[in-house]
Amino acid sequence: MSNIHYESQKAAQKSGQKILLVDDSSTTLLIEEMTLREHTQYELVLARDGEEAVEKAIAEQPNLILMDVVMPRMNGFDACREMRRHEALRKVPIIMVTSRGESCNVEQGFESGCNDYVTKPINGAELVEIVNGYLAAQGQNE
Amino acid sequence: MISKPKLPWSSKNIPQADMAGLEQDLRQLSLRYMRQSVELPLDHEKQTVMARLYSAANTLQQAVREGMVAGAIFEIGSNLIGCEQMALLVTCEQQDRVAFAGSVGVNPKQLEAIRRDAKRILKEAPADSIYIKTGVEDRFFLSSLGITALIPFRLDSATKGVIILFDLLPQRNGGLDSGDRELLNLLCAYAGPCLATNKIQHQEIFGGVQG
Repeated sequence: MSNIHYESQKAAQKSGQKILLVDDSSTTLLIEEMTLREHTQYELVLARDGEEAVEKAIAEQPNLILMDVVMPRMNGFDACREMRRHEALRKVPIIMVTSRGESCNVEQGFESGCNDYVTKPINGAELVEIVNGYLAAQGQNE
Repeated sequence: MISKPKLPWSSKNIPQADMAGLEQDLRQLSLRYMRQSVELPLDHEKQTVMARLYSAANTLQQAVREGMVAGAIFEIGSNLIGCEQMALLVTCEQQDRVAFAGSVGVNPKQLEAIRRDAKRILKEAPADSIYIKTGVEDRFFLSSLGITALIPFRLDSATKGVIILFDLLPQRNGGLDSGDRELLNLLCAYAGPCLATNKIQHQEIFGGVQG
């Protein structure tokens, strides 16, 4: 994927869309934030654990949530289930970020209500593509 | 070219000015990676590498301040490289001894290998560069222990320890690439000085290095 492709994607993005990034690891949050700030124009909101993620999701009403699985206080699966209990968050795409892409973990993620997953270490192109894909589809449905 | 900060190797009484200098060095390094990522016409692979380097430098800088360098090294391995089986060996102040200074995710077989061969692992570490298993020119001893990469870290001219990477996560089945090598080189240059600012817990001490 070239820079020109990134730029055309960036220009096509609907302004005002918001992404909630959730991870207890600063290394992952930094790479997600840097990648998305450089290649997209979405507003970014950060949370450091599942409980904070649920609170921020309710308060901020993001258009998409990118969430780690293993976190203190509340893990990603439980946070996903909790979010799905709220009417306003039922249709928000939730993408799990996991270091384990094995089928049992993926199944558990889908059972908790997530829409998709990406594996660590984060690949910039893959991240931008999946985020843009969900948000573009959301924009068309509105 | 990464400049290697000059700091005295000791687990205590690090002058504040040196710690501040190291923090400043890492902050400048992370800003440089960010600028390169924004300003240079890089393809997506190279931009991912820059983002990882930025994240690693930033994480180390924060870890120096918080006294959590060993944890930060494991976090970089797990989240930026895709290795959740790592160990840290350091030389003791008496240079003929090696201490097991921490690990994450290692299985009993790997732990046994560390206990049995710690001294030789440190001895086999290349003096100035990292070892990465390639399958072609592998050092039989290291590959026989299941070591994917060995990152020696130095302070001034002496090797002060090694970071051992065992198996990578399944999604990294293609092995380590040139981007990983850049990240490991960053650790090779900075792990020693960063660890020197922390008090390292020696969990187990092994005999003479030469033994």
